[in-house]
Amino acid sequence: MRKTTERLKPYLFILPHYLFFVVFFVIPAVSAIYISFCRWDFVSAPVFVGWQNYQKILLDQGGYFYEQFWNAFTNSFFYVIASVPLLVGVPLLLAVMLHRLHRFGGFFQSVFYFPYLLSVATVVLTWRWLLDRSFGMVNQVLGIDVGWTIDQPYFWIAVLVMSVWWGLGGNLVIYLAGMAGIPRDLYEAAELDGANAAGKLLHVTLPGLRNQLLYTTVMTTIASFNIYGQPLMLANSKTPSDDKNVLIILIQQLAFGTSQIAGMASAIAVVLGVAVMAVSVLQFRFAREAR
Amino acid sequence: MIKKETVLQLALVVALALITVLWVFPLLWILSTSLKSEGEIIQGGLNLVPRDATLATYQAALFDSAFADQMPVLRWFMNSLIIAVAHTAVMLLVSSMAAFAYARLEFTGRTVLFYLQLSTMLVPQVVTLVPLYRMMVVLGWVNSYWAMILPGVGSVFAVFLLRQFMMSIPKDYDEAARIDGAGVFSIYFRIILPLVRPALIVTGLFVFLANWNDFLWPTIITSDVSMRTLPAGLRILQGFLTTQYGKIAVASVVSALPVFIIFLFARRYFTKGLSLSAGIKG
Repeated sequence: MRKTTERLKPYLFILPHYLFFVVFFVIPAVSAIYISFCRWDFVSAPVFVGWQNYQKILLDQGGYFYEQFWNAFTNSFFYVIASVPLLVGVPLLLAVMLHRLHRFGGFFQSVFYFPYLLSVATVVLTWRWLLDRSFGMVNQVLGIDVGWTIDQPYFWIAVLVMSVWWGLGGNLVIYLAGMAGIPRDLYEAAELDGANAAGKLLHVTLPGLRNQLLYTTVMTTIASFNIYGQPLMLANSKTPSDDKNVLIILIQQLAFGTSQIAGMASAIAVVLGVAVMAVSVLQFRFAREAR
Repeated sequence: MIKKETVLQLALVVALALITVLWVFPLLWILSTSLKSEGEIIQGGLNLVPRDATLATYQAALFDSAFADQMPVLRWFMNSLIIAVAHTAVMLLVSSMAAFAYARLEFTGRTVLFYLQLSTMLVPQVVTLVPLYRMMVVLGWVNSYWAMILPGVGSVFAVFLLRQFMMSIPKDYDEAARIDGAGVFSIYFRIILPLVRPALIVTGLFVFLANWNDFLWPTIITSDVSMRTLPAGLRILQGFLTTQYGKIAVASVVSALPVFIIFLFARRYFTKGLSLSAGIKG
């Protein structure tokens, strides 16, 4: 008898979290897949329509949802392409500089890290004020009249700048922790082999950071695909114009806007989820082959 | 040779100091704006130090009752605080229990259950958004704290992180305690939890800030202005005040201030990369 309760105890420890996990993650995720095959308005019972939602967003050329989806997808995708190299590369550059530095490293690290802890709303409001067309510091100092919150490509440049300012610190800390773990003798050995600074970076530092680089690339890609707050708040409109729209804004508009097209919104969310997972798997595979 | 190294160090410090100015300036500028009078802001001067520093905008944005009826910034602050504290407490309790079982106990299905959870880390949260909203409607949790405290606890991030730390503790601790007649519960509570205290703090800080900063979910799940959290509130404040940048600056400072204070006191926990590197090495 005592044996049995002893054996059940581990499950008791897991149970509370697993309940949360199943109720608030697994069930909604599975429901999302089902709903994506339905016509649903949150109120009446979902009506199964097969692949119709997917067909409308992915294939139905010229259709409203097709146009909306591919527009938002393209914007999100270009943001990923532009932001991931910056968010992976710039902190790497800073990490190399900080690693080489003898003093004040902790101070600089703290400064670069802090914005990472702020909410996207705070970040955008802070930058929006700097970028205000008439009163903003940036336009005044540079003596230009640029509509950062309205016109392209300035809008997306602003989004990129504030995203790098915001998100760089997280990856920076990961790199620095990784660099601290690279044994000193590797550098000394490279020096004996006559390696210069670039050689040491290429043959010791970067290989030593392989796991960290893979991790930051995958995680940054996922985060960038999920971009939402920056364009929404920079545009400061409930319905940003097409050139400023991204997938999550579109999902929100469709599901929680006036029309409440929840099935279609779920289909887009599932496509986004599959795209993100596919890219992650590809990155892992690529990293394994590069090994 | 020494000379060359000195030059390099100097160049690095100068370059990093310039970037530091770029990094700090936006924050100083919004702080400065919050301390200027509306008149001075509209004149559009480029002075970082306000000509007449005043707390008038703070008074108007936070304590003016007519304004607070429409945009209750302080109420949002309290909402955020209550929600983030409660969420962090629940999260640390259930996550540390699960992490303990995964890391220190042996049972059938342990690997399967763990990898089932781990594999969901790549699934973006947005996939669950629509059904989760419907669930909140059914539970009557729309516009309630519960919707912002509990669903996030299903995240596996904290379990994964704490398990990583708990696995690094030698097995001898449990065995010695077991020989002394300690049960599983007291091993968890008296031995393992105290040993991973730093990890609990790190995880707690990240969980707290993630919840404090969450933007998408509170924006969707609260339609009642008084139930918003600070970030979700900032979203409507921005639409409400198109020109009064002083008040927006005040609200931004108010939302950043607790984060700054936490950062000042817990800096070493954040910048060690402790938490994240633990996840990567494993």
